[in-house]
Order: sequence, then structure tokens, then C-alpha cells
Amino acid sequence: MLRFVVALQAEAHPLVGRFGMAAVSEAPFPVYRSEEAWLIVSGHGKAASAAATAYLHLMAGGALGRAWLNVGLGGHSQRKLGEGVLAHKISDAASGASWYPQLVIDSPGPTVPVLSVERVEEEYAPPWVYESEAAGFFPTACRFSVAELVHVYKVISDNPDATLSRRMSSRAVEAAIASNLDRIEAFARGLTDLARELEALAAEPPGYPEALERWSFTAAQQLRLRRLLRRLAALDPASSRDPAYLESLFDGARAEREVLRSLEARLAVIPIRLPPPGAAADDLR
Amino acid sequence: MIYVEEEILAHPRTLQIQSRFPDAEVVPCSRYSEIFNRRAQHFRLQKRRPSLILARKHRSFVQEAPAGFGVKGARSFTFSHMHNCIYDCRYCFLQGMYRSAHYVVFINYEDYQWAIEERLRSLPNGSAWFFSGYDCDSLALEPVTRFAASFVPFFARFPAAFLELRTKSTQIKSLLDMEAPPNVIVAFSFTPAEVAASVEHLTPSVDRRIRAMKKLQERGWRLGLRFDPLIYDEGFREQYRRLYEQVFGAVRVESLHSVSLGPFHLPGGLFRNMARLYPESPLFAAPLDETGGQVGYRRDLEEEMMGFCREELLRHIPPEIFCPGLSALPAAHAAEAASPLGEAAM
Repeated sequence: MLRFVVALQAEAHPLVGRFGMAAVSEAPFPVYRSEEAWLIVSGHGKAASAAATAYLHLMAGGALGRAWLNVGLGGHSQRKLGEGVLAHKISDAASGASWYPQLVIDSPGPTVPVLSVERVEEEYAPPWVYESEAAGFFPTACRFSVAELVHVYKVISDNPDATLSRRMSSRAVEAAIASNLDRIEAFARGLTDLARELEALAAEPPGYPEALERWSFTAAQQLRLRRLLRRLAALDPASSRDPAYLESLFDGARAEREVLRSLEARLAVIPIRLPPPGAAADDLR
Repeated sequence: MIYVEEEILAHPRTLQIQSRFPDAEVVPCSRYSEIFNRRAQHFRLQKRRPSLILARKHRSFVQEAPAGFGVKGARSFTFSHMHNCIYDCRYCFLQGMYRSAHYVVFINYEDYQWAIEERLRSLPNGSAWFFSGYDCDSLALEPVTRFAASFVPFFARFPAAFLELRTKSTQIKSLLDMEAPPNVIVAFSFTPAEVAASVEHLTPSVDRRIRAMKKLQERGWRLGLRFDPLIYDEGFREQYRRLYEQVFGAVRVESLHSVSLGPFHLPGGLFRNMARLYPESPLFAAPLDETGGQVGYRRDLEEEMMGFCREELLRHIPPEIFCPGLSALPAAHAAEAASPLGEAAM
């Protein structure tokens, strides 16, 4: 459900540890995974970040609608070293293009605009976070998910008083990310919950896979079957999740058409009752 | 979070709206279409926490209403100062039309008013109807937008023109603070309390809407009733009968300009988008048919509901104020009129 993209190996280590990931490949990008998360180390720059994002999407199975988080370091003219911030706008300094991550859960920190630059900046004229990956990561990840599930979290490593990132040891980079791990984890889990909600919306209705295994529906019949089972799930959610109930509907049907007719007959006698507020029928969360 | 187009960052109405949200982060953007309705967005997820977007509208301020809609014998137009709604009505076509749930407010009211005035000057007698409240609720965000506070006095200058504000809101303070012009109709939408509680999320209760109508009635405002869309439940007869008794027990017929009924109809494409967003909703699992590209209740069911509700309604009102043509604007027209793509192309 969760996909991390980071630029440096040292940024990866705290996340790999926190999410219990193990290495699964070293080239062309180092990739780690656990039951709940995948992580890829992209290297520096927006092109590398875009390539790694696409690579991870495919390597992780190509499922759409997953939660994606770019974690890294950035410079800012005013913010304190070590502070974690979330991007509410990402601009590409080279092209001028902008993107807007859509925040629908609590932010793990202040939200800021992020400017992706090609070279290291020493003067942070507008008070944005300066970094190098977000403009590659964000639009690429949005091809595989929705903007509500794709975010960029940066830890301030440089400001006018200190340019740590260029002198930073791996250990210091790890420490900067590690000091933000609780916030990152809470936010990542929130995004994962949203991704699960999306997955539930797209799920096949109860009884559909079983019916396909048992009979040979034509493509048109499959569409009809799916529609009928969805209606059944919406109008009589408890029964539709009961295998014995579904079995009773299918029982005795010798052909696909009889299955569909049996479902239609059942739907025709279910009374239409709009659920009272707060009832589970209109709530997948 | 409030997104604001850079060109209107210093506009007085922008500043006034921003001042209502002193803690909100202001994010400048070039055009609202950079944020609103982008391809990779999800309406249902965004509806959990929609943002306000302040924008300037550049064209298509006023649209001609489609044939068959409006007041018989009069030219009818629609206009929208806002896209999307703070309410969350499961039957609303906006869910199927936009990928974004953010509220876009176009702050250049004066340009709308100029366009309306121009239309009026081009018409013989300057007589026409203007309908607000299809891509949004006319009053729900009134304390923030001051839309009615700006447009009601404007219409008061054109006595031959009529404005309909369509709403489920109880935000009527700005109306109560001014004289009621005879050419402005405040039309309240209703479904029965049980239906409203089930599918009209975040809206004021039927009771509160009726109380708001009573206050307006006492101040001389002309009112409208829109029982629209009619929503089926196995108890619909009893539910609609009770609703009519409740409404007409409080609202005097003499205060009413018009009453309308509208069936539940949606263009097929929008319906399918909505059903994908809320597959668990019994509303979309009811016996529905698609005819001529429009999805609605099965014809026999629709005729039964329309017939029953019309008959019951006419027990309470004289037929002269029953105006079926004021039922819902076909959503396909609204979708076309409100398309942000045209704006984005500017």
C-alpha cells in the first residue's frame, strides 16, 4: 500500500528500519520491501526520482491508487535545521511547471512550497524549500495514483546559517530523518488508510469471483453479474456477505442465464430503504 | 488552505474572504485550473477536507437556460459564482461532474453583474429570469462570499428582471438585513426528513430550513419550494405527505411565488461516475433505467411518485403556482455551462 522514494541511502536507512523492510534488489536502484511498504533509492535529481518512481511502481506489481511519499532533505531561508515540512506546492525551477499535492488528512508538520532546482542553491530568495527531486517524483507518482495520496516530506538540512547537506555525513543525514520518523510514520499510515478506502471502492462485489469460478459467463454477462451483485451488496449488505445466502441464490441454477435471473428476481423483492444517518451502508471508512 | 489566483491576491473581495480564515495557509496559483479538477484527483477523498479556491472568471458569466426550463413565456438564464457545494448530497450531479471537491469562488461579481445588465439591455422590456444555485448552493457560503448581499441589491435596480436564489441553507442573515425586493425569489429545496438525513449529508435539517423560510416570510420575501429531486424509499408516500404537512403548516401560500417537483434524473456518464464513487449507496442500487442518455427511476416508479406527489401538493397549493418547469435544470446543461475546461483554456 505504501511506496517511499528517497534520494540517498542514508535517507533510506531509518525508514527501512522503522517499517521492517529488507533489501530486494541493488540495481538499477536499491529497493527494499516489507509486508506494508516498498522503498526505492533514486539518487540525486528529478530525472532520477521520476525514473525510480516508475521503476518501483512496476516492480511492486503495478497496482494503481497506492500511497506514495517522497522523503528527503531541503534548504530554506528561515526554517530551523531538522524541522520536517510537507509540500503544498511543488514547482520546477527549470520549466516553471507547478503541482499541488492535495492534503485530506492532518499534516505531519507545517506546509510549504517546494522548489526543485537543478543545482545547489546558496541563497534561498523566496521562502520555499529548495531541493532536487520533488518535481520528478510528484507528477510521475500521480500517473499511478491520485494527488491526495502522493506527498513530499522534507527535513530542513540547510539554511542561511548552515549548509549541512554538502558536509553532512551519512550518520547526520540518518539522524535528520530519524528525528522525524514518528511524524513520517503517522502520516504514511494515514495515507495508507486512504489507499485502502480507494481499494475497497474498486473491489469486486461479494460472490463475484466465486460465480466466475463456477460458471462461464460471457463478457456482457459478467458486466451484468457485477452490476447485480453490486446492487445486492448495496441494498442488503449483510446477506450479500453471507456465503450461504449467495449459495441459496445460485443453488439449482444450471446455466449462467439462470444465475442472472435468480439475482434479478431477488433484487426485485428487496424493499428500497434508505439507511438512517451513520449507517454503514454509506460509509466505507 | 486557501488557493488564490495571483492576479487577485490584492482584490478587496479576496482580502475580505481571507480575513474570515486568519489561520488558513494562502497558496498562490496562476490559474485555479492548476488545482481544480486535475486528472489525478479523487472527489470522494477530497470531500473529506475540501479547500477554498479564489479565482477570477474571464468569460461565460451568464448562460441561456435550456428549452423547457424556467418560467413559462420568459427568457431564462443561469449563472454561477461558485463551483461545488459545502453540502454532500448523494444525488447531486456535482459529484459526477468534477474530480475535485474544492469550492471555487469567482470573486469578480461586478463582471457578472455587467454581463447580466448587458443581457437585460438587449432584451425587449428588460424582462428575464436569472437562476443561481446549480453549481453550488446560492446561500450556503453567504457569510464568506456575501454573494446575495451583492446580487440582491443589484437585481433590485432592475424590477423587470427576476433572480432565483436556490438553497438548502439557513444562512439568511444578509437577506434579513435588507429590504425584500419583489423580484427576488428565495427557493428552498426539500426532500422528506428521512431522505434528507440519509442522503443530504451536512445540510441543515428540514425543520431548520422551514424555520428559515418562516423568518423570510415574516420579512416579506417571496419564496419558492423545490421538491427536487424526488427520492424513492418504500415509505415515500407517507414521507412526502408528512413533508408537505410540515412545510405548508409553516409557510403561507401567499408568500409563495412557485412550487415545483422534479424527478431524479442524471446524464448516464455522470451517474456512472457517482456510482463508482459511492458503490455502497442504496440510492444508486434502486430500480433505475437509462433512457435517451438519462438515468432515472424505472418509468412506472417515476410516474407513480410524480403522480402521487403532484396530487398531494395540489391539496396544499393553487395550481397557478405549481410550475413544473422550475424543477432541476438538466444536469447535462449545468455540466456544460460550468465546465472549468473552457476557463482553463484562457
